Amino acid sequence: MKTIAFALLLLATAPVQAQATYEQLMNVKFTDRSCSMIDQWVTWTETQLRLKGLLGVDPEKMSNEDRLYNVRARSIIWALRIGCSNPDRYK
Amino acid sequence: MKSLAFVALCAVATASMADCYTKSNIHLTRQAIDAGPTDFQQTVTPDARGFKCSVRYRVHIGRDWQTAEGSAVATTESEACTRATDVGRGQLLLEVEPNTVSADTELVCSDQPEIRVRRVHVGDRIWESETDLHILPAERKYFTYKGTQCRTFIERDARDQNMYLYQGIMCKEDSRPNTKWLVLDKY
Repeated sequence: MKTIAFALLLLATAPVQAQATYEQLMNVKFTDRSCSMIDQWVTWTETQLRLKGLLGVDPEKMSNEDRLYNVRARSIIWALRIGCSNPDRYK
Repeated sequence: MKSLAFVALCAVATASMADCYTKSNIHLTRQAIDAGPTDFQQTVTPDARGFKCSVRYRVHIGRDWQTAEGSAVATTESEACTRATDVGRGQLLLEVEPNTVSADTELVCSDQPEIRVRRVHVGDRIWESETDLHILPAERKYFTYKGTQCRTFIERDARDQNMYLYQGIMCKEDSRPNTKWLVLDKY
């Protein structure tokens, strides 16, 4: 419940464009219900990457810290894209 | 004289481009294959009985992608190639090791592009077996994204005394059986 509340809080603050920390990204969790907001989630996560200057950057050219941030953000994006399009995949 | 020199030059160029293997006596069984067969490359030649089709393809066995080849003869091209594609007819091809080549070694050569695991970038069009399967078996399954067949892959990069492991997403360009894959993301 806490994680959902945290996730909703993150989305609610999205227009402010405060960059999420790596720890905050690590705390983002999803449920089946998250799929109804997949577009907002993907946009929000891509915004975090853009704010950090990591959108479209080759991962081989990133610092270790940026690489971890990038992995977490892209894992969120693809977990949503894959999970929401293939609901039986992880059952 | 000029034309002779040209022919000789062509022969040398062709030989240097050809990708050769030795045909092993290891016959494929479906049980041993983790993924594939995929990335089919076929060659059809006329034969006294109709057509001979040789099909080279990739199978994932154990930890690696390996190249295999099957061949068949039939009265029609499509029948020959359908039979040649049957994994039960396939034999693993082994890379040529100069020390082990003897007079009776059967060399199998082809001018078709050699397929190997390599470093890829977002936007690359690649063969499926140019990337490694994901380490976790649960992540190896194909999935659908925007109506196309996709899968995750991993890429190992040893550099600066470190081993980096990247993950990526690639999707088939269309639903035809032997089309290339587009690298959508790597992170």
